[in-house]
Amino acid sequence: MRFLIISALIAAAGCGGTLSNDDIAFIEAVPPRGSLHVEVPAGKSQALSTLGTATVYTEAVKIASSVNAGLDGILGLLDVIRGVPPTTRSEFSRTWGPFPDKEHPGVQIRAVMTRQLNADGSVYEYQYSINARRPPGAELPLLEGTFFGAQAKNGAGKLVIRFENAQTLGTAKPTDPQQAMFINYDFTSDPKTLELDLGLNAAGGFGLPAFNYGYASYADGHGRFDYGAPDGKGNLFTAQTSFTSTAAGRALIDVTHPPFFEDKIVECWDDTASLTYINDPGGLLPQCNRVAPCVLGDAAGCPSIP
Amino acid sequence: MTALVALSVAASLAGTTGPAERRFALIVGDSQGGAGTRPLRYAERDAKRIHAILTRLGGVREEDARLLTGVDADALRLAFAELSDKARAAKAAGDTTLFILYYSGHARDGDLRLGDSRLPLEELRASLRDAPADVRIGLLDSCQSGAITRSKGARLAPAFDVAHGTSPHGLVLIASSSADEESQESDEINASFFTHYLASGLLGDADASGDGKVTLAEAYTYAYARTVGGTAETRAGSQHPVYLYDLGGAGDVVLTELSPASGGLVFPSGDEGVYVVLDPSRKAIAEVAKGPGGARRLSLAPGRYTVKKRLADAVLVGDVAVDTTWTEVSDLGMSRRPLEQDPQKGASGPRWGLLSSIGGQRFFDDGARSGLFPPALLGGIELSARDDLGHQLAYGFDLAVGGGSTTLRLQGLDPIPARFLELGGGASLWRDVGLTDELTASAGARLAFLYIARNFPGHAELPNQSFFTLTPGIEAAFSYRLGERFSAVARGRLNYLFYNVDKNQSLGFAELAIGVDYAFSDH
Repeated sequence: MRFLIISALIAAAGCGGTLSNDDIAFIEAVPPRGSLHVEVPAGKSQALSTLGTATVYTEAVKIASSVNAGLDGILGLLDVIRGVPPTTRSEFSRTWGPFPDKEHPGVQIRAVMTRQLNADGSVYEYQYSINARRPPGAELPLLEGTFFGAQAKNGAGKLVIRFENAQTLGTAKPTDPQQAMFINYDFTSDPKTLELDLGLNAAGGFGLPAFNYGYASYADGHGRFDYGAPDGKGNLFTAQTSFTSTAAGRALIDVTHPPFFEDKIVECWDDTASLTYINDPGGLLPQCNRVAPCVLGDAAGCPSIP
Repeated sequence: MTALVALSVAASLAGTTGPAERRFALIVGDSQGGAGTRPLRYAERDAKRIHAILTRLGGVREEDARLLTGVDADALRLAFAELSDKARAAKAAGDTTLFILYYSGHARDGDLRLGDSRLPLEELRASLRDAPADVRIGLLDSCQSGAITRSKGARLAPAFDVAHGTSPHGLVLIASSSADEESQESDEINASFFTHYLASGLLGDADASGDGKVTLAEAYTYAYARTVGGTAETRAGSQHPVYLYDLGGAGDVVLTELSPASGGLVFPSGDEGVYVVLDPSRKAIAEVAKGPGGARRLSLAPGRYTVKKRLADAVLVGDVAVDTTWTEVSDLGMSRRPLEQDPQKGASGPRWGLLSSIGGQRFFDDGARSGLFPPALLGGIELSARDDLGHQLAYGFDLAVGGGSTTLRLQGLDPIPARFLELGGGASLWRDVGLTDELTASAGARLAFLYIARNFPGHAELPNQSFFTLTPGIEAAFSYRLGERFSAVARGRLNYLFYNVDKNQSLGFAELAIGVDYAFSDH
């Protein structure tokens, strides 16, 4: 009762505000734009070898850029949490909105975050969702997230982007996937991993083919990026690229053209993205001139990557 | 009554000062009366006024006058002895001598109270009686000071009964109130009633004979009548000055001469009424109760003055410059203003001061201090008003700005640097208590607002935050007067803050500050 009276008096005087340490704790659990990125190191200026450019590396750079742009777009949905103070607060939750969706008239957006605490007061888990509804319709989740830890940059979490609900609400872009997209990340130990699963979408998403993209970043600077890319001729290249901190690397490339064939190629390149070694049992690479098996360069020039 | 006044006027004509006369004056003002008394507000100002009048118009050389403020009884005794020695030497040299003691301060239970020290009235009377001067005059403006006149010849009367003659010698004691009365001060005139009227009389308004000389009888007659009249409607009731007149020989004593060379104001014969003369700080320095017929002169030091005359529905106001000549002030030359534009309201109203301070703020709760409300450095100003509410109450309005930087340490999170800005302000009401002449303690309450904003450098994902609330509190301060206008101030505050964002929480915090206060008018 005492607090009620004081609260009423304070509120009557226009008192209150956004000064909140708990708000900071909630916000720090949400991955900001740029925090979920595939970082393929940039090579030095090219000094081409006789074997040519390592296209598997340059493709990795391009695809990583597309993945990053897609992830930033998704994380941008969470700006509603960071951009304005919560509408309501409790010890275990924050709610923002509902607000009118400026980009989609008639749609209302609401964000909800909850947390569970351990006995010592530390956070066990955050759960959050960005929901939308087009009245009088029901509220549908557009994004759902779970996070274990205190701050996004060294915790583990997962995001589910419900594109199917965006389609239902009429807020999806033409290029958006039709089905859910999954993002998993684990920054709690070495390596830090990031996974973007577009597997449910036959057409992929963000201009990327359907694939479960995986990335690992090690403390010493080296990393691994698995991606898939069609070559426009009906072949699908899936590459497991590993690279040093200076961009030299090697890749195991699985080339399939179901149901006709499958080829496994090994490539190595230096820090200028120039190929130093090719082992193409099927002789599919242009450098092999359709001669199979094809081994070019010196395997000893492949970088040593754990 | 009329007969007595007439008698005193006639007697005053006999007064004279001669070239061989030496006058000595010991003037004492003490606002402190020790335990059980509250400080007087105008005792020291009263003493300074009398000192100025006696040295300018009263024939007392500067070197023969002693002005003591805030001293103890021993200091008074010592000064008395020193002046007595000088008087003795002058008398030995053949001069006729006059010794005046003026005291404004506390008295109770038969003692003058000078701070924590005591000076029995009996001792003072004996000292005056035995002082080596032809004429000894004691003027006491203090509560129950009439006790000093408890002797044969003491009178509670409006005028002296003075005989004609020359070369008076003996003792005259005048007290501002009878032995069972309080002597009253007035915020309106910024003085005690008795001294205010005594001073006004000495400046010329008591010159009933119009001969340009104010005698002891005239001064007393005037001060008695005006004091009784001026206090008739006060809460304490009428205050009646008393005297003991024991002058041997015959004749009266001229206390001041309105020499033409000194300059002043002339109130022409055609005007009548009560005129109040204000100094540039709008404080009353004299009054003239002008009757019909005959001009009245008021001797003033060169300077600018404001003269006002209050009418039933308006006030006449005139600004005059006094030099070494006489300046006439007539009703026709004064401007008529509405009563609410009475210039004296400024004098009896607020005495404004501006405090500049720097200090710090610290919350008591560890969690609040290390998180939401880190220690802050604050610089501020406060506009204060004293002498406006009475009862030694003062009020002020303050504004402070400050801030700092800190590192936010939340469980599981990396340290987050934060910069914060703080803006606060409030209104305060407090009471001043004078501890010594220079040192004043004060305590009171304050209602303030507090606005805090913070941002997080290097953390673009975190939005700026702010908080606004009202914080009631209490405060205490010590002020040490450095001069007429400046005081050093040390102030502490305890505040309550209700925080309601993350959770409902009652918090307390302290503020300590030091600063310098500038008074826009004299103390």
